[in-house]
Amino acid sequence: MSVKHLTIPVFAVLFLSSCGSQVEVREYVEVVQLPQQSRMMPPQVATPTDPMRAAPLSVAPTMDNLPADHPSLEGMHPPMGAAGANVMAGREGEVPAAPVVDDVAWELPPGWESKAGSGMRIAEFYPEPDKPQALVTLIALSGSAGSMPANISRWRGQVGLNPTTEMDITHLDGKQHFEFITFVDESISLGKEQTIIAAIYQQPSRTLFLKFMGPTDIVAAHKLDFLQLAGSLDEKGAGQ
Amino acid sequence: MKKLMMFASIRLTVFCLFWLTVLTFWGTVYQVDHGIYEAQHRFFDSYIFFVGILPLPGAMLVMTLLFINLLFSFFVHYQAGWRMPGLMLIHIGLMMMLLGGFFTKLTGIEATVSLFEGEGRNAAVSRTEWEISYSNELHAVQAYQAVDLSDLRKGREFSFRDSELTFKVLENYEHAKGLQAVELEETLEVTPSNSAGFVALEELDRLKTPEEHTPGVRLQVEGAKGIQEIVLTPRDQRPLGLELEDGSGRFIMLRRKRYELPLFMVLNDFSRSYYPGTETPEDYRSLITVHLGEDIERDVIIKMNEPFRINGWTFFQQSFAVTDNSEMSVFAVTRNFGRLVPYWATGITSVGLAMHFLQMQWMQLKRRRKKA
Repeated sequence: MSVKHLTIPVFAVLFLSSCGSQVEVREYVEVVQLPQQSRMMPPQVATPTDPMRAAPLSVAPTMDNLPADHPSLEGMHPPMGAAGANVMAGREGEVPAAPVVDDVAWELPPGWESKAGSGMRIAEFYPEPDKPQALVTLIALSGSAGSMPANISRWRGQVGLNPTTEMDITHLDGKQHFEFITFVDESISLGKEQTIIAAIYQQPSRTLFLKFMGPTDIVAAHKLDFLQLAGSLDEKGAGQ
Repeated sequence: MKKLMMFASIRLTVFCLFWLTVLTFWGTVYQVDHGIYEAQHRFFDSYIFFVGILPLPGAMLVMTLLFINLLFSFFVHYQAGWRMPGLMLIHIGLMMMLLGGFFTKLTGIEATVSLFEGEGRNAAVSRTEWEISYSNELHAVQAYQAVDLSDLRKGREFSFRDSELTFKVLENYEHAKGLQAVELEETLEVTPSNSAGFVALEELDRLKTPEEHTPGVRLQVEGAKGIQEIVLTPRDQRPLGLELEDGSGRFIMLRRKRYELPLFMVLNDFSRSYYPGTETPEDYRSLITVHLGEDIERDVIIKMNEPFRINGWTFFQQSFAVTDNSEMSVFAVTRNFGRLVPYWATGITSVGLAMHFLQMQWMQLKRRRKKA
């Protein structure tokens, strides 16, 4: 067998592999059912010929955009599991843009470290920098960002507590007024390894969440530091 | 006939196996710097690839030759009949393996479905493939026409059924970014339309992770009122509306390729648990309702290592994301109608090897007895 004998079949295979120069048009039907609260909204349909030559975002059910009535993705935690960063494939339009928030100031408690956040996080704080599992996050969400009971219930679920919403909420005044929530005592009495304390700042157009989640002993040890941080939080230039 | 006999040559077999070994080694080293996708694309998905100006056979070509070689060997060397049934079975098994792989490559799909609790969809989304989709409205139940971006070479034309619109590809980049008019140094003769204000594209270097590519395409349009060119990118976020001469309108957008599933799936609940004291997930699972027809529905639990299979499609619990208001479950979706072929092929080859071994033993025993 010589190389020249192979020439013809090799070129035949190459030729066949390059065939199919027609652009194939596929057809399919896409069906999207939005979560329950969204389906209660009246359906909206866009007209392609509107002056902006673009569909308004509110008609998003079949698009990758986040419809106005879709559950918010704000405050999204990093995706877990094998997919890693690909978890939002096909839903990129739903990922809110990183917030442009540079109008918040704070005073860092001694020994703490802070670093700039990403995504919806304005900043991250580490009470014990060598123990990154104890983490304080500062998140800004537009509007009221869900009801207080719903937030509390969800946070309780994150640390293995029953999803009750009957919580003592302490109203405190630092440089800004905030609502303080702690699960520390309950977590200690129930022997839970993780707990949460949080400060919530309701502002006219947004809500700030300062949330401390980590091993119960570390969170308990830094509760006063956290309150100091929470009390120092203010809008830049507010006191000037 | 003599010329055809070369395809039955054992030398061709040895060459193919040797070259596959080289490609495997080369591809493994290559992926360190270029990523697994690029290595797969260059060495294993190609019929031919170039090193400088030197063309070399890719794995697809080598495996095609190997299949032809096996086929010819089967008919040429063993035409004597069924005296060597073991060898025949081995050849059939190996050919089946190669054919199964080829069939899977042609028809296989790897995609993703991500659902919030309470959300339902009937389409999976590709991680790496993109499409230009086209529709006349944007309903929750919507018929689309679409062309694959990978089919669009510069200069190619395409059109969709039900309109006089025709599109010609002016630019098509695998990874690009859209440019606004203010970012351009020169004034454009024709300003393309785009819902985000992009008027041009800048090609970017390809990434190691193709799922992060953001393609861009610039099309010349005929048949749309007041529009000569359009630019489409995934960052548009809104479909572009095109007004036709008759006053009706169409939407067009660039988005990840959709695969219609044989079912409609709704995520009812997603739950997860962690290893104590850590944020490492121990188990996560999704309760979904699968609608297979108007009145056919069933509840299914998909969890780690326990996928749901139906009609050649497999749904794996792959990942999840947690927001402040909801939880999203992510499923890896594959379609592989030839999933069982490798098992059958391996079984047949194994039986062939066993038969051949026993036959050889028996023949040797016979020869010994004759001598004795």
